Parts: sequence; C-alpha cells; structure tokens
Amino acid sequence: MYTLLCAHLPRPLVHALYAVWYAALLLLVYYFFDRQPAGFYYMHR
Amino acid sequence: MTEKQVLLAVLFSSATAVLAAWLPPPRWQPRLIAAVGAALLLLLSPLSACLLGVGAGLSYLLHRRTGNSRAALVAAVVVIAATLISFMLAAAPAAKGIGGHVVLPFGLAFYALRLIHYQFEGYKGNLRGHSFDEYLGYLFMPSLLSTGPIHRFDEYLRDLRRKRWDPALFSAGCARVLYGLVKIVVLGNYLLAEVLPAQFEALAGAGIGHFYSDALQFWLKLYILFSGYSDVAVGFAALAGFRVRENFDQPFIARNISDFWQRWHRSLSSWCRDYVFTPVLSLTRSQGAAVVSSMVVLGLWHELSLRYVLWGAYHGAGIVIFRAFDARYGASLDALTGVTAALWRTLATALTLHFVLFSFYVTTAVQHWLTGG
Repeated sequence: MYTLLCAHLPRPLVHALYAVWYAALLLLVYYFFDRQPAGFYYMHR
Repeated sequence: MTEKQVLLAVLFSSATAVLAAWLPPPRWQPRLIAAVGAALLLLLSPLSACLLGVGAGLSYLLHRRTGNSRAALVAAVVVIAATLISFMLAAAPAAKGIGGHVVLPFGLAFYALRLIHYQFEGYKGNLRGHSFDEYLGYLFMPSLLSTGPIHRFDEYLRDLRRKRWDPALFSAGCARVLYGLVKIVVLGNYLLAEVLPAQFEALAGAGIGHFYSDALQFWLKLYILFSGYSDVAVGFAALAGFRVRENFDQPFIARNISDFWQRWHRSLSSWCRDYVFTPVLSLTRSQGAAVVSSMVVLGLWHELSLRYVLWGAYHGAGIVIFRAFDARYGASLDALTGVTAALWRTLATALTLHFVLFSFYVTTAVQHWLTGG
C-alpha cells in the first residue's frame, strides 16, 4: 500500500496520511479499551 | 486479575522487553528479556513461573548431559506431557464453567510445546551451541508467553545473534501491534461481542439460519481475537528485532481442509507436523494414521475431552479423504480453465468453509450419539 501510494502522491503527503491513519486507530483503541475483554480463556493459558 | 489487567500487564512487559532487547550490551539482552518475562509470570501466576523455571533448567541440563539420547527424549516428552495433562484435567471443570477453582497456569499450554520442540531438536542434533541465558530469553519472551505463536529456537537464536537495528522491521512491528489491538479491542470486544450479535439474530431468524449465525459468530470472534493477540505478539517480537512465525494466513479462503490447516494456527499445526505426524509416520508407515493422530493431539491440546478427540478425528478424516480425492481427481481439476475453474475454486472454498464452520456441531452430535446424551 505504501509503495502504491508513493507512486501516485508526494512522499510527505503519504507520511502525513499514514500518521493520521495510525492516530485514528490509536484513538479508537483508547476509546474502546475500557470495555472488558470478551473472556477468551482459550487465548492465554 | 481481570482480563483487561492481564492484557495491560502483557502489553507493558512486552514493551519493557523491547527496551531490554536494545539498550543493554548484547550479552545482557537475553537475560533481561527473560527477567521481564519471569516478572510477568510471577505477577500473573507464580506457579507458572516456577513450572517454567524448573522446566527450563531441567530441559537445558538434559540437553547438555544426554545430547541425542532417545531414552532422555522420551522421558522428557512424557514428563512435560504428563505435567500439561494433569493441569488440564485439574482445570477442566473451571474451564467449562461447571465449578472448580483450578485454572491452567498462565502460558503452560504454549511453553510446554516449546519445551518439547527444544528436546526434539536437541535429539536430532539441530541445536547450535547456546548458553542458558539465551535459552531463558527464548522461553520467557513476554509477548510470546501467553498466546504464541510457537516460536522455534533456531529462528530465535539466529535473530538474537544477528540482531541489527532495522527501521523497516521496527515500523512494521509498531503497525502490527496497533492493528492487533484494533482487532482485539474494537472488532473483537466491541463489534463482535456487543453490536453484531443482535444484527446476526435479526438476520438469522430460526432454523438453519440460527445455526449459521451461531457458527459464523463463533469462528469470526475466534479468528479476530486470536489473530489480534498473535499480531500483538508478532509485532512486539519485531520491535525487539525477532522475526516470529505467522499464525494465520487468510484461513477462510482455504480451498481444502489441508490448506485450511496451513493457514489457521500455523505454528501449532507445523508443530504437530514435526513432532506428531513425522514420528507416527516413521513408526507406522501409514499417512492416514499419522494425519489422524496429529489432528487428535491438536484437538486434545485445546481440551482433554471426548468432544475434542472427535473434533480432531473429524479434521484428520477430512484431510485423509481430501488427499485420496486429490490423488484421484486433483490433476484433472487443476487442468480446468476459465469459468469452470473459477466455479470449482468457489465451490471448493465454500465446501471447506462449511466443513470448518459446522465441525463443532457435527462432533457434538456424534458425541451425544456415542454417550447417549
């Protein structure tokens, strides 16, 4: 994806887009983190 | 501790292990990684810390003293398997929610497989010279302790010794941890746990739709959460400079059941291939027996119960039948082109998906039929 974007857009713009994308994901994780995980005993044992 | 606190502890210790993997001089790095992992285990389950500590010491000594002795290998595998089995039996009532208070020591199911891997590779003479500290760093790496992937010792040692700062790997690791957290926190614990069940219910209605809805939700949640935890583990390992085996590769687009098991929990299925399938094949010379026994072991690793014996046998039988079918018709089906080939691929993917989706329904029905329940 990074290579594809760099082929069509200026590199600083691609980096800025990535920064916004990661920041949005981080915010999402932060917002939803307080919810109790679904209790998957299987996952860590 | 709540599950959220466990997740936070794993994230914090994994991040600390990243610092331990880069800041101190190289010979201190595995020691400090192991110390962080041991601290995590002591916090979450002191019993597990003792078990892994004793297991690490004994397996290292056994490897150093006995080298490639078959008797030592058999004794080690029996002791490790017996320990895992006895804890699984004791923890079974609590795991099924039918009483009991014993839970499986944190990470035991995963590090037991790593200990067996180490003994097998030592027996085969595949382990390069290494110190006890390096071995401890392998066993106690915090991000891989609890959910796998079941990392291989030779790959770990290669990365540890050739470790160089690689910005591309570091940035890929950051992204991977973030994507994993999105899967766990947003997709798994919010969308699939809170929002989508009601939508699925509304769409499904009664009858066969209800079965579809339940099976789809179960497998989707399992995939999203498990692959999310694997992403976090692989991501943190990458941040520390280690390239760890992948656990998933788009499993729901597999075209046959054999392909599915090369895409789903790959580190476990490759472990079963190396340490169950191959030995059984060399003993029995029967592909079918080797496939079924490795799938039964894979099933029993999840839970010691008749249901999981049947579930493993169901998948093993599926693989045996597919291989017989492929030997007979594979070449002619591969020769198909154009629309016919596309139709066949779609049908094969749909069949495989249904075989997996309904595996628990089929095996539970067989179990009820067998036990008269």
